[in-house]
Amino acid sequence: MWSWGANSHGQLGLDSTSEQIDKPTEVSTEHLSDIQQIACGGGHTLLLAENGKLFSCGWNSRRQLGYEQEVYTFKRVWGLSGIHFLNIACGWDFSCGVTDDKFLFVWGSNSYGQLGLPKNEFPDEVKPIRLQVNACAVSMGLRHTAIINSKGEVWTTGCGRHGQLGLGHNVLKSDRFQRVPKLSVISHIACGQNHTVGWSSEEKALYVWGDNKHGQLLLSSEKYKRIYKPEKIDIDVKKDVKKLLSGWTNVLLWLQDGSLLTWGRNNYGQLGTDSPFTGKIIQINLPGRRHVKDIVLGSEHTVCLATDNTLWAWGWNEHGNTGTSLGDCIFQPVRVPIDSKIKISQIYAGSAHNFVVMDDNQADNTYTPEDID
Amino acid sequence: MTIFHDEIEIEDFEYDEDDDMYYYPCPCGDRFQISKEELLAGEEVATCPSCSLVVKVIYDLERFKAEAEEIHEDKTDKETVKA
Repeated sequence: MWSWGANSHGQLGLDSTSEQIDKPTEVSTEHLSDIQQIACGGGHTLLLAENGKLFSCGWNSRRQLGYEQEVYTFKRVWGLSGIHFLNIACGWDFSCGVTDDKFLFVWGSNSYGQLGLPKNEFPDEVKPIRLQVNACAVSMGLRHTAIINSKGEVWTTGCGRHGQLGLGHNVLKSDRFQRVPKLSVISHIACGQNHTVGWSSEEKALYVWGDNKHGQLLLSSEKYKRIYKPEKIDIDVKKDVKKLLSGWTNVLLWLQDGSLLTWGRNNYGQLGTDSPFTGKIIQINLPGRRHVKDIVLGSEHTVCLATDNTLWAWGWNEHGNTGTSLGDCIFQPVRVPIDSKIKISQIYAGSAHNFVVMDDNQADNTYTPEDID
Repeated sequence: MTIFHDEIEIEDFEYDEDDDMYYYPCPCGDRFQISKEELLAGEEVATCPSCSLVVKVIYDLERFKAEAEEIHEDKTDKETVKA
């Protein structure tokens, strides 16, 4: 496993804190076998290992690590031992895990009710607790959480000052999950800084709500500063969606045919182009017509793995987010300098930090990347 | 001219009573911060200790001053009662 980027709170698992780690650096995985998933929050990281065991490291100001100490290497969340997690997610300073029976555990900051726990019954910093909530998919933003249940309904909780809960202009905060009205069956959900986007596979339609300061809802930012209820946007996409992702103020759709569609703020190159965002969807192409194997978003940057095992990144780069020292903003995909012998199987990004996981079965195989150019 | 990462309303900042500071998340993973004292002096730029980004705090100085005064008076009142 390798990590790089912002490390102010030891979120890279490298047993140290520093402003940043410029280049992909190997993380000790002696005690971690069969890594399933990593989730990156503002300054903390969760890791799911074999049999759904949970580990965490980094910033712990609000107990977002699931225990009391602040640690800079991955430590088991013993309070949740015996629980088999299948999926994990992080918000800014809060965390969650979905169990094999689809129940949602939450912990960390509940200052804005973002864990769905009544504020008069719970402190602002909450120990892991199981909710009576069935979550097929979950996304956590800066101060709000959205889940999709087995019926394809979206339920939200937390801060709603900017409309990010989608519950109307009278609900500017909520400390319990409430169903978002005016939606069809939703299959994908993503929370940004102050907005939420959902995709309906059934309808092939995008639904958006919340802050639109930078056009991240694909609506005119002059006309609509924010919207408090879901708006259906026809973007004429007929293909299936592999992933719907959101940075703080930019959104990305990865389609089954491999195309990458993106929109929103582009002041640091978040959209992978130096053309300004004018309200129209931008298509990103990897150099040399490479195909996308996986893609992840941080707060203001993107990391993308190509099928030829090359790794690419663009966007905000002040903390070496792209693994390069090519300047503070990277407006075109650049190659992340990582040993090409390392066959990457998983990639993850948080606010300004990144992880890649090496394929377990490659110990003795020397990987030769295909030459596509 | 300063280029602001964002303009953030004071209501979106988290106030920490222990150190009289206002905080808002920074995309680098740290936090923008500005002290109550600085705000009272009319300063409106919150900075992040871990990166170069800055945000402009949107607040009404006169109202902020008046509210700070009120809270101060409240505290003084309570102390008087205690005594």
